[in-house]
Amino acid sequence: MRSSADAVREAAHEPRRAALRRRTELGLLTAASLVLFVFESFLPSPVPWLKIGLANIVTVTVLARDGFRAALAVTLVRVVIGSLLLGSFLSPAFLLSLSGALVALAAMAAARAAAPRLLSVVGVSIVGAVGHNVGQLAVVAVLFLRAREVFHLLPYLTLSATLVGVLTGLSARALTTYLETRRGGRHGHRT
Amino acid sequence: MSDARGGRRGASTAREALSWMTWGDRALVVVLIAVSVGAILAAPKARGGAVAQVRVQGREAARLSLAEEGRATVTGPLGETEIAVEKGAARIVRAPCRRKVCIRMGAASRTGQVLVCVPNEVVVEVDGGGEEVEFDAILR
Repeated sequence: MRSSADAVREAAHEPRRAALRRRTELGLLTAASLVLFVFESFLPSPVPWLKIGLANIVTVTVLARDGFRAALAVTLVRVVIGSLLLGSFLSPAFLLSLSGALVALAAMAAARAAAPRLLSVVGVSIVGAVGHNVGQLAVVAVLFLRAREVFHLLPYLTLSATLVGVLTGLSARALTTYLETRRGGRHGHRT
Repeated sequence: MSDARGGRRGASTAREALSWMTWGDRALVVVLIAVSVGAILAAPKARGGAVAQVRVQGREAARLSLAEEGRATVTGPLGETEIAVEKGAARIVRAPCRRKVCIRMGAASRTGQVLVCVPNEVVVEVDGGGEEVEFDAILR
């Protein structure tokens, strides 16, 4: 059915189709991270400082698959639109969310760059969780309260961040696997 | 792989999931736990604050030691606010404001805790105590 001309034409479209598919996937992943973010904000928690960081599952996955710039875009969109959805845009909570997310992303990118084979997604995820806490405490220390005493919370936050990082890292691993196998052929296209 | 969604299916899945971690991951976990626990144990224990400082319109009007029972009355633009210290904590017990939010704020006993009466411009702050501070923080 397909002539060689058709084949050549299709091959020429390959990169564009691949790029389009990439962008679409990123959009969907961003939406997913938003859902996770908003959902998590409604979870009741006996301890207010225990943040699970479900959205980081997507961030870590995108960082591994598509690189830093893609992860940065996903993160920024998630933080801004998430805060709009929650009604906290430009509020202190927004600043905390933004600073935590950016420091986390920077830390994760640095960790991947510095020791690419040493840490799996799980390790990167842990770094992200801890980085998130550090970023938030830094903003709180500088902008909201007296400096430095806030960092006394850091050891407790780090313990929970380690545990949480493992869990989100494993979830990211599952997500990556899902994305890779799905791409393999259920919908019939080679891209 | 049909169900890669990360649902919990029992201990064997958990163990196989953990085997995905590299030794770098495990080392990171161990180091973080060790450092955190070390920091927690090494930090001086929280101590209660020693003194409640009462400020009216920004200027100090009274100081009460939390170590002993006592009362103080300060005068602000709306009238008199009375602060009482009992059992190592300071409370606002009488205030000329309409909504009495300051009274309902309860007790301040640790360094950094504050009681505030905005209409009468009175601030009661606990200071001079130990190094650790207890915070109410909502982090998202």
